[in-house]
Amino acid sequence: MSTPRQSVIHDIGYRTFTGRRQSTGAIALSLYLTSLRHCFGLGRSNKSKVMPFLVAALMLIPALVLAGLAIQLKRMSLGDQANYFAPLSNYFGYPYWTQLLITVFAASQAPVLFARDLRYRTIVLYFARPLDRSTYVLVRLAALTTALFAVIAVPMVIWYAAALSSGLDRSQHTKNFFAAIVGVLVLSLILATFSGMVSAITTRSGLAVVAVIVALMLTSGIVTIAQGAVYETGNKSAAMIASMFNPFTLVAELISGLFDQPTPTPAIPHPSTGWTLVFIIVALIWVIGTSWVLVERIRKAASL
Amino acid sequence: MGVVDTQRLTKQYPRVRALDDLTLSIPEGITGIVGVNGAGKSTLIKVLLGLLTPTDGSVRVLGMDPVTQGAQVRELVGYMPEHDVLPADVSAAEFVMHMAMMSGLPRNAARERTSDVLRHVGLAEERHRAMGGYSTGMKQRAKLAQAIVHSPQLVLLDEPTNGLDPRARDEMLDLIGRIGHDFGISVAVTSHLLGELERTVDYVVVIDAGRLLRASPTTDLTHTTGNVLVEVLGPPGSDQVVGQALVDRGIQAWPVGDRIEVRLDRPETLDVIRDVVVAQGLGLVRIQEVHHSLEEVFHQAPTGVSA
Repeated sequence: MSTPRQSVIHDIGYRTFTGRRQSTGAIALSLYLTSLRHCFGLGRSNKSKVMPFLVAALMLIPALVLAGLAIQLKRMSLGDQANYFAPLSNYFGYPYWTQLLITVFAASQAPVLFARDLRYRTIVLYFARPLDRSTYVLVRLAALTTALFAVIAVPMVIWYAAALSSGLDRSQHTKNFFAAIVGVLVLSLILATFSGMVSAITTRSGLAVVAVIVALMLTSGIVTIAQGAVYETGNKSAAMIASMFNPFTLVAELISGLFDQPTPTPAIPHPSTGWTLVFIIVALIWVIGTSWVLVERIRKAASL
Repeated sequence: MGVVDTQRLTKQYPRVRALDDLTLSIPEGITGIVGVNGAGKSTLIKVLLGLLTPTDGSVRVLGMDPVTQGAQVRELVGYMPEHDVLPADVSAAEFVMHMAMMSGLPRNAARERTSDVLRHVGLAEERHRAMGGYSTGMKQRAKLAQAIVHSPQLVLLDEPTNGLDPRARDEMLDLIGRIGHDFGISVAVTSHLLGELERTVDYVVVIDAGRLLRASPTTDLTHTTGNVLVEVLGPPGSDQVVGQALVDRGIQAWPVGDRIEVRLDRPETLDVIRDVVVAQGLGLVRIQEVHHSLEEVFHQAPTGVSA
C-alpha cells in the first residue's frame, strides 16, 4: 500500500544521539584535560606553544646545572664540596630563584583559561551546559595549578635524582625535596588563583599578562628590598611580615617553618612555630580569597 | 503537558519584576516567544536553563525542575545566545566538538555529531578556519551548531536572525524549520520580528512586562479575515472599473494599491467577482485570501488579553 506522500524529507541525515551521556564528573575531567593541554599550547595555534615550552625548557637549565654539580661533587676538593652542600640541598630555592620564569608562565597561561571565555563570552555556553559555575572555575584552577606544578617540579625531580645517585646525604635530600614539593604545590595553587583572578578581572589577555607580571615582580622586588633593609637591623618580625606580600617569599617561610627547612636567602628569616601558624593562615587567605573573588567575578560576568 | 510549563512564575530583582505571575506552556514543535526588549524573554531563558532561581512559582522543562535538576535539564537543552559568544582563534570544528563533550558526549560521538551538525547548518569548508574570520551568517550557523550538537530535545534560540541579511535570514529560518519539524527537536525562538516568526513557528507566546499576553497556535492568530484581494490585468484604471462594478452589485469593495479588496459575505461573491472581470473583458490574475498578520495581532494584544 504505497500512497505517495505529500511531503518527502529528502535529507534524512539527521541522527539523534542515543548513547549514554557521560556523568558531570567525566565532563569535568574532560574540561580539566583540555585546559591542561591548552596551558601548554596543545590544541591551540603553533604560536601559542612557543611561550609555555620556552619557559619549561629554560626552567630545566638550572636543574641540569645543579644535577651536573651533584654528580661532579666527588671530584672536587673537600673544601669546595662543603661550599656546595647547603645550596645543593636547598630545594625550595629552586622556585625562589626561578620566580621570574614561573611568573611569566603563570602570567601568559592564566589568561588562556580565565580571560578568553569572558572576553569572547563563551562562558555563557559553558554555563548553559551541565557543569555548574563553581565546578567550572575549580576545574580550570586545577588545570593551571597542575601545569605550574609540572613546570616547577619536573626540573626539581631531575635535580633530586642526580643528588640521590651521587652519594649525597640521602635522608636530608629526601626530606628537603619532599618539603619543597609540598611548597611547590602550595605555590602553584596561590599563583594559579592569583593570576586567574587578575585574568578574570582584566579579561584582556595582553593586559592580564602585564598585570600579573607587574603585580608579582613588583611585590617581590618590594619584599626583597624591605627584607634587605631590615636584615641589617635584625628585625625578624618586620622581615616576616614583608614575606606575606609575595607568594614566593610566603611559601618559603611556610615550608621553612613547617618542615624545618633552610630559607632560600638569609634575608628571609626562619619562622618560629607561632609565625608558622600565621603563615598558614596567610597562605589560606591568598588561596581562598583570590578563589572567591575569581568565582564571584566569573559568576557575575556570565549573566547571560 | 508541553516541553516547558510554568505556573505563576515570578522573578523579582531588587528593583524590577522581570517575570510576573507567568503561566505558560510551550508545546512540542516550534514556538515563537515574542516581546519587546525587556519583556522578560532573557530572564525566562535563564530560569529555564536553571541559572536563575525563580522568586515564586514553579517551572518544568522536559518534565524536570531546572531549579533542582539543572544539570540534567542542561544536558537535554540547547541554547543559542543572542550576542557573540565564539572564540575568535578556534575553528568551528574544534569548538563545536569541545562543546559537545562539555554536554557529556563521549569523544567519538562528539566528533561524529560535530561533523554531521556542521553539515546540517551548512558550514562546509570553513569549518576548519578560525571563527574570528567568519561572516555574521557563518557565526550564527556555528552558534546554532553548538546548540544542537549534543542532540538536545529542546533548543532555545535567542534572536537567531539578528544582524543577518535577507538571504541569510531566510536560510536561518529554513534551518530552524528543519530543526523543529525534521530533526524532531522542539524549538523556542525569540524574535521581535513578527513577520519572520509568522513564517516559521507553529505556536506563538506573547509576553510583556513579564506577563503572558497571549498564547495560541500561529494559525489561530493569522486566520483569514474573510476578505479577498483581487488583482486584474488590463489597461490602467481597470481595477477601479471592476471595483465600481462590484460596488454597484451591492458588494463591499475598496482599493488597496492597484488591487481591490473585497468582503466575502457569501461564497457566491467569488462567482460574481469572476463574472464581473470577464464582463469587463479583463484578465483575472488572482484572488487571494487576506490573513491577519502577527504584527496586527501583537499591536492589538494589550487590549485583547487572552491568557
